[in-house]
Amino acid sequence: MEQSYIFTVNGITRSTTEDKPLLRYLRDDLHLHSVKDGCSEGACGTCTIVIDGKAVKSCVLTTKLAVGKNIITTEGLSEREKEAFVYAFGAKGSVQCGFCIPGMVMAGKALLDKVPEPTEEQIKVALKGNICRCTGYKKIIEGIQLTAAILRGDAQIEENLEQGDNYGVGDRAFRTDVREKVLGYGEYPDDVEMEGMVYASAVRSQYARAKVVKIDYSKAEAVEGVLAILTAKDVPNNKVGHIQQDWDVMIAEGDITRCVGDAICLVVAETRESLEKAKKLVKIEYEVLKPVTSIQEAMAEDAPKIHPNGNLCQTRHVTRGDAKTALENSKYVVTQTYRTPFTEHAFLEPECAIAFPYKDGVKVYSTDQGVYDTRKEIAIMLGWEPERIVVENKLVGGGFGGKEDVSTQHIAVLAALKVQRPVKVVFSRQESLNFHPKRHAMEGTFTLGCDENGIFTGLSCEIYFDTGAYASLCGPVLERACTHSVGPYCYQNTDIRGYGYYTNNPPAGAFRGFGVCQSEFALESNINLLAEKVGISPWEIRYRNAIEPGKVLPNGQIADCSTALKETLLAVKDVYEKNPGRAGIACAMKNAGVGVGLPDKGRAKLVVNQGVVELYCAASDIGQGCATVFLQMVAEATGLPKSKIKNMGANSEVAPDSGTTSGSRQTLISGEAVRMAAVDLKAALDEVEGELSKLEGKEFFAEFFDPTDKLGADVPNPKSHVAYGFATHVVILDDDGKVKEVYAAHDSGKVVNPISIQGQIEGGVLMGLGYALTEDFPLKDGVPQVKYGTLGLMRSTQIPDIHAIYVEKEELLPFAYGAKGIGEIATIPTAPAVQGAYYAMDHVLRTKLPMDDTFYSKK
Amino acid sequence: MAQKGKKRVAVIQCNGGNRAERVIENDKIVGDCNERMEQYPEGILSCKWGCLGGGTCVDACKFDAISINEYGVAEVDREKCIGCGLCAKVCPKNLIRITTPEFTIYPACMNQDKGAETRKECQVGCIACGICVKNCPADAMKIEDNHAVIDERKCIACGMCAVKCPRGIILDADGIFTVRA
Repeated sequence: MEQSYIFTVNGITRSTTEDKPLLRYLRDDLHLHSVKDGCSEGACGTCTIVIDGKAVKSCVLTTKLAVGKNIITTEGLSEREKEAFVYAFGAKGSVQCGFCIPGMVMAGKALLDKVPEPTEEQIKVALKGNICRCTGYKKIIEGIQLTAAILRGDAQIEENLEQGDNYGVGDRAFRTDVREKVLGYGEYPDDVEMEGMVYASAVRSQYARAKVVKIDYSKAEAVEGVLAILTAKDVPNNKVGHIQQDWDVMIAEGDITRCVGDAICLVVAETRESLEKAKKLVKIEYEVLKPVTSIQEAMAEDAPKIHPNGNLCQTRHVTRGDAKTALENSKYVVTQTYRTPFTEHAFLEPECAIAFPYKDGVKVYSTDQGVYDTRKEIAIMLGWEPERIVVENKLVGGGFGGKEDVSTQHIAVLAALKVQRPVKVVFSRQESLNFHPKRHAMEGTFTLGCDENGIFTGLSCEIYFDTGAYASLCGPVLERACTHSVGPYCYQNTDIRGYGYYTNNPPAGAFRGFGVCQSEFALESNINLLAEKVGISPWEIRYRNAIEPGKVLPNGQIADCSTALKETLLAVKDVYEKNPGRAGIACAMKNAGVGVGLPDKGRAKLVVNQGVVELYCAASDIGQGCATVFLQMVAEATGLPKSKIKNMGANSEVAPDSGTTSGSRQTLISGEAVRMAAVDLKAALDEVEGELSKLEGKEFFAEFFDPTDKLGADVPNPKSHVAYGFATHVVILDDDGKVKEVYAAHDSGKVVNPISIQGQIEGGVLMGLGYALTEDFPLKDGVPQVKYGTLGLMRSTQIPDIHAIYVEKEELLPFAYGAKGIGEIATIPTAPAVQGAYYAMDHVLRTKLPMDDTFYSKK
Repeated sequence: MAQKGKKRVAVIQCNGGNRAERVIENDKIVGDCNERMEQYPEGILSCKWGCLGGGTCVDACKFDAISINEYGVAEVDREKCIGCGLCAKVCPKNLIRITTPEFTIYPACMNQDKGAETRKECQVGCIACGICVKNCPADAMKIEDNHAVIDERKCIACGMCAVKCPRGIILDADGIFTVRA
């Protein structure tokens, strides 16, 4: 007789004869989708459940080992626990992308059941196995503390906070997605199940560079349940790419692979099991070639050409004034070379998409940073009119730039059109690590000069980027690295040369900071060396050079009225000066909006439907919270409560294109379009004495576009970007070199959501600390030598005390209520500030990230 | 509930006892571990590293936190243990280490013989197959001196090694991931 495994799940006795990971049983058999699959390796904690009172990762345990045990998932919490967690996590801003949250909730529950009043340290230890890439953990720890207080009866739930009657700009707004994310019923693509849905997955190259001699899938085809196997010849146009279409959907027989992520064939099967079985039976004969693994190798004259036009993917030359003469005449000059690594986004939700035949084309449930971008790439691949393809985002479990390129969406479409059924493609964690574009690795040599007072005179630098196998967003990322390598100061002589080279490493593209993390690390480190030569403090040299309203940035743009860099410096002056020999400081600026002469438009439409204002704006909320920010702007303009406004999400069929979630642009660019539409709605409302029902069926559309000048425009003061955010970070070490505190002062204009912005800053800072100290992406022959658990992502027990500070100028920009966005800048100044703190402590200049010989690097 | 300093706890790195090949039958032996070693200098188990079951640690413990279990191996009661380390000091086989309770997962074998040898010596001996090393998501496992060793600076106590261990020698103090007790 077959063995039965019997256990209790959320109070119900369950039985199965299959021995498999409990995660798969809970998700696939019981459809308990709060149990998220972030890695299936035990590393991330998104699948944490409570078993016999202990927090356990359900991907590790098996149904066989669970026999006799009592299992609880978020679905099985008591109503009282559910309400406490929802309120506390919303009130404290613990929720961003939300993919880690049900696991965090269950880890919290296991702790609170045993320890009703835990210390902060106890909470950190309880969350040690759960990675969060968005929040920096602080807000989650606070959420668990408040949950504990509510469950003990020491704190009360404020009912009206979630209800949101006061939901305007600057109000303490409870995010719109808290409840579904905390309780785990919100749908990410992998949580969607459709009638007749089947699965597809690509067989990918074993080698970074190899000729595909022969693809033999005859045995795989014979596996029961296999519906189709596709190769390059089944793709109408075998090229995709966010900007440059250089990325083969699949590598054809006879062609040469460019990285290990390259797909060679695509298997479609009825079940996950038959799919995995068939994939193993695909035989690929390779002729292994020596890969190009560094910029130097790519530049070599005899280097193999990775793409037909050679290995130089992109160049930029940004100049103004006469840097050469300025540097020759400078009192002090420093030249230094810096190296930064590839960085993995490590968003908690691996890429996933479902595609199915729809109307006269196809529809895709996606998790991406721009549904219109995804639509465009698929249209290019199919050779179709874009309108035949509909892309709708489900919840997005983190992006950070890593979900700008298509990954699963286009291959799901190919499979769905082939078998005429809904097809789900979900990446394994390792597939995700190997496939999607990273932050570019950089080698840069920076020469910065100043006069006897420390006033900067000129910058000359060369920036080399390894863009890996494909361009992805190499052009704009390299350009932003170049244009921001000058820092938020006001000197006028610059000569910046940027080069992006193809190699056989995994591709590099967009990542929070968009090239600026690399170049500002180099610049800010050089500034400390100049300060030393002049004999003034690192704070002082920055303050003397800091940009202010009316002054001219090194790119020629006149700083606008909202510019508050000096205020951020003043906000951290005391704490910097109180920690001599232990504190490091760095500034940063980051554009808001794509700028540089491109048609960067925000669009929004408001529709009054059944007494509710529906907001249509295809701006991806990847966890940063723009969906809530837009509702707040509608509430601010109209005075309506949250219950009367509904964000309809990013869906290319119904919501207007409002650009990519990239360049810290959604709050400002899309936000202004939302505000404009809402102002029109308000005017109409006033005409009907505030009776929303009288506007039933009415639509209010707005488009926002503030033109900018293209790079190198022949005008005295080109305006490169609509706005810039500014920041100063101070990092303080303890005597062992451990980061004790970080003070992060930000000018992001008007703060729309004071709860959310703190989480954005704290999470950005922690990401910056990882970049500086612990995260790496080692490669061998182009093959990543890391797993999710060894990337060096900081865990809850490693976090310092992060203080988020925001300054607002009296006079603000006339757009989006003066908001400038916070997305990327929070992660930029941290690494150079850490470098500065170590330099202050031991006077060793660490020019490479992650830095050697620190508290964190000691084995 | 605030605690000063971190609570600590003892870990017994052997789970052999009666499941190890015996040289001397259990019922013939008396005395604590030191007496047993004197009496049988060639050892009482064919494994030279295993727990002797003589209870020297039990005698040393002031908190009644260690006992000799049904298999004839020392076992820690984590509720009672305060991690003072007295047991670790007196264990003649150096099988006891002190850690913090968050580290619930631990290899319970210190046998340094080659795998094939160990397989003969004990049903629950580590054969250094390295499956734990391969499956650990955090690179916290390694094989040293022919047995699994955990690096607690990297361990996240996920239990993957315990679940995958074909010999069941990696234990979970909470009992959830322990494949065989």
